[in-house]
This record gives sequence, C-alpha cells and structure tokens, in this order.
Amino acid sequence: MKYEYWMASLHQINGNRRRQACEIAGGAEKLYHLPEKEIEKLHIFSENELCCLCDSRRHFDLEREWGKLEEKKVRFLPFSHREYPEKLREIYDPPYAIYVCGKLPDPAKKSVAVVGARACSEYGRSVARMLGKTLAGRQVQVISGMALGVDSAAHAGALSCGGDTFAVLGNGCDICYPRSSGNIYRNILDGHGGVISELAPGTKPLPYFFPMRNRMISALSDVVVIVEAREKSGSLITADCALEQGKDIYAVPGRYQDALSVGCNRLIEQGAGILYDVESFLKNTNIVEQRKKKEGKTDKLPLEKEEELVYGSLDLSPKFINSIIDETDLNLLTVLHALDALKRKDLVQETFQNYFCKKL
Amino acid sequence: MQNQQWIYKDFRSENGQESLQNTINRVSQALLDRIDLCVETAEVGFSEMHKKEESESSAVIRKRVERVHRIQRERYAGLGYCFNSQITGADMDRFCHLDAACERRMAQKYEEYGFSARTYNRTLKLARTLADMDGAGNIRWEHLEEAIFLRSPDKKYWG
Repeated sequence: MKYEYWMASLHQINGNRRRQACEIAGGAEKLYHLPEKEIEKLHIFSENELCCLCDSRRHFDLEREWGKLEEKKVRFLPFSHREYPEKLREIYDPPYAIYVCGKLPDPAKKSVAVVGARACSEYGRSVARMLGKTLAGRQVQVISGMALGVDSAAHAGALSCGGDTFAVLGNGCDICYPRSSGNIYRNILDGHGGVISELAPGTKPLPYFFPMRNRMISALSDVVVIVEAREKSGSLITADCALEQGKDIYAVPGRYQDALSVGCNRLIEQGAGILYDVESFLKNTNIVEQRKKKEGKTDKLPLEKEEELVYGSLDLSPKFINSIIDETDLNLLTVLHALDALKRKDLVQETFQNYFCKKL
Repeated sequence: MQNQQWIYKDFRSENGQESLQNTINRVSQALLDRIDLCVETAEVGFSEMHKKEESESSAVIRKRVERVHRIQRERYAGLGYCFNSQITGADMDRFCHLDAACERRMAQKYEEYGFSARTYNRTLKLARTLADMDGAGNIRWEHLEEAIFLRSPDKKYWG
C-alpha cells in the first residue's frame, strides 16, 4: 500500500503509463526497487517522467508520508483495490488511485451529476437546488463539484431532504475549497455522502486539476445535467467528458441572449437532452421508477387576493420590494404581509435583504 | 433620533449582488449589527428629478420628528435618557413589551434571519419608534414587520 501511495503521488506522470509499468514490473513495490536502467528498458516513460520517477524515489519518505496519510481520516483506494468504483475503471484514463472521505457512491443506485456556472444567476441556483432536492428525494445520488453557485446549490438541495450527495474535488479531499462551502462539506461528511478526489490529501487547488476533476464527475454519474454555462465554461468540459464516456447529457435551457445560458442552449442545439420539466426528465432518463404524478405546487393553493397579486408580480430573478410595491399598487405593509404569508407557504424566497423571487 | 446609514447598491451589473456581498463580507458582523436602519435607494432618473410634483416639505417632516421626540422625552422623564435607541436592557420589557402573538412570530423571524441578541433588541427599539410615529401605545405586529424591513444588512442570511 505504501508503494502504491508513492506511485499515486506522482501525478505528473500519465496514469495509464504508471499502471502499465507496475503491471510489467509486478507491482509498485517491485518498481520502487527496480534499478533505473531497467525502468528505462521498459520504454514506457518519457525522459522527463523517468527523471521525475527516479527523483521521487530518492526524496519520497515512504514511511513518513504513509504515516501522515494514515493519521488523516482519508481512505486510499488504488486502481487495484476492490472498492475502486467500477464506473471509474471503465473510462479511458482512470485515476491511478482515489482518496475518499465518507462514503463512495453506491453502484446499485443511480447517480446524476448536476453542474454549472460558479457565477450563476438566482434562476440557476433555484433550478439546481430543486433538481438536487427532487433527485435525492427519489433515492438518486447527486454528484457535483462543490464549487460556488450551481454545484453548491445542487449539493444543498440534496442535503436538504437528507439524500446522499458526492463531491468530487480539484484538490486534496481533506481541504474544503471553496471555503464558503464549508457547511456543505461538513454535512456531507456527517454521513450524507462522500468527498472524492484523485489528489493526495493536502494538495492545494490548481487550475489544471479542475478539468481532471470534471472527467471524474461525469464518469461517476449515469446522467450529466448542465444547469447554467457560459459560452466558454468549465461545465462544457464535463459535458465533453460525458460525451466521450457515453453518458446522457441534459441541459437546462435559458432565454435568448442570456449570457449564462449560451453554453446550455448550444448543447441542446448539438443534440443534448432538454430539461424543462423534471418529471419528463426522470421519465426519459429512466433513472427512477415511475410513480403516479405527484401533486405539484402548480396545483393551485388557495391564495388571498393580495398574495395572488404579489405572487403574480414575481418571477425567478430576485426583485426589489419597491418594484413589487410599484407594480401591485399596494402599500408597504400589505406587500410585507403578503410576502410573509407566501414565504410560509414555501412559494417565495428572500434571496437578499428585501429582494424576493419565486421558489421552484 | 437614531443613527442612520444608507448603503447604495448597484444591481444593474450582473455581478452587482456578488460584488456587494464581497464588500460586506469584509465588514465585521459586529459593526453591521450597530447600524440601526438600512434603506436601499434607487438612483434618481432624469425624468423623476424633473417631476413637478410637490413633495412633502421639510418643515412638515420636522414637525413629525419633533412630535415623536416629545413623546419619547415624556416617557423617559427621570430615567436619565431621552430616546428609544437608549433604552437600557433592564427597561426593554417595560417599554418594548410584545404580546404573546407578536413574540411567537418574532421567534420565527429570529430563526429565519439569524438575528443576534443585539440586532433583535435594535429591531424592537426601532419598532418602538415606529409605534410612536403611529401614536400607538403598544408595539403592534405591523411595526415589527416594518422594523424588520429596515433591518441592517446581515451576511449570515445570504447564501
């Protein structure tokens, strides 16, 4: 295991080549003790990689590093481990090893990735939260990247109804990045899923780790949903990976010329599924057994006249209370009363001090 | 009356909310808690500036403020302070008494907005002033509601 850990720490070297070398040498331990000349004869590594490998053999303190890893509550699963997820094994360039805090996704259950922009709109956040909640409520595992915006909202949605959700990180899984997702991170580790990374504990996030992470997000899921993406967005990398790995891709459409939805709309143009209604999405992707149509919020709840007026003036992007007052021609107190009642009926949310929008 | 503070928000740019959040995140919550009133004001457009409509004159407003000041001075005569914002902790229940229904609803709001003891008391004092402006003896729910509407920015609530 120690030797496997040493091998896994060499992420400068291509994972497939590392695996190949270990197979030929008969395990990471043998490779560790193999003379440099012999390794060169394998003709697997490039000059740089060989250099890096031999260097690390000199500097990597096996006992100490392994001791450090064991102190942390992180499980280390190399490719050969029987708990290493099958779904990851199947892709073109599986990680040499993964590190897990908490649980691993249950292969018997379906998984859906919900990803999207970090600087998303309130609309994107609401959709992601609703998707996370609905999926988790139907025993589907929600996978995402714990980034700001859409990712966090998806995790939060899943956690809000006690479902399992899994975060794949672009840094060591003992580090909570971004820090603002701390609450989600702790909730996940509190028995509601797991945090997965292919980077050794303590690794700081670097830009080029994130595309690597995205291929794991799509690999671990059955369906990938992109909620909001700009024309050039990291979420589109996830979509590309999903395509390569043969997963279903769904995109949430946006309005004409909405910068945050261009990427999604383009995906739909290119043949991705369109997600405009959760029930039909669940039906088309076959990820849950069909139930009889659930009573939705659209089935009219009895609303007071003022509540109806106020609700009608709201949409999915937050609106300042003054505009609501202007549009409805009601006075401040009546609007406050109506909003309070609507909030209690779970129809409206206050996204920011005195800014209100409809709740999905 | 009470110290007032206006924070100008610009929501025209797409990232307005985020950049504002970044700015406020740098301010400590303890400082934010000490702001009594927060009102968001929109930029005044050209047409609005040129409106010929008669607005309330300052003299009228002055009268209203003086009336409320008088009420407070009479109420706090002999107590060593003269304004609602100065009510001491010990006198809170005497002057800012809430009936059972109001208290129950405030308990909900306390959870919802993540008030601190300080912001909660400030909200009550503000509601007291609103009640005085209304000429009401006791604080009613609508005063509390308006006071909550005017509460200071709270970063805990965002997310």
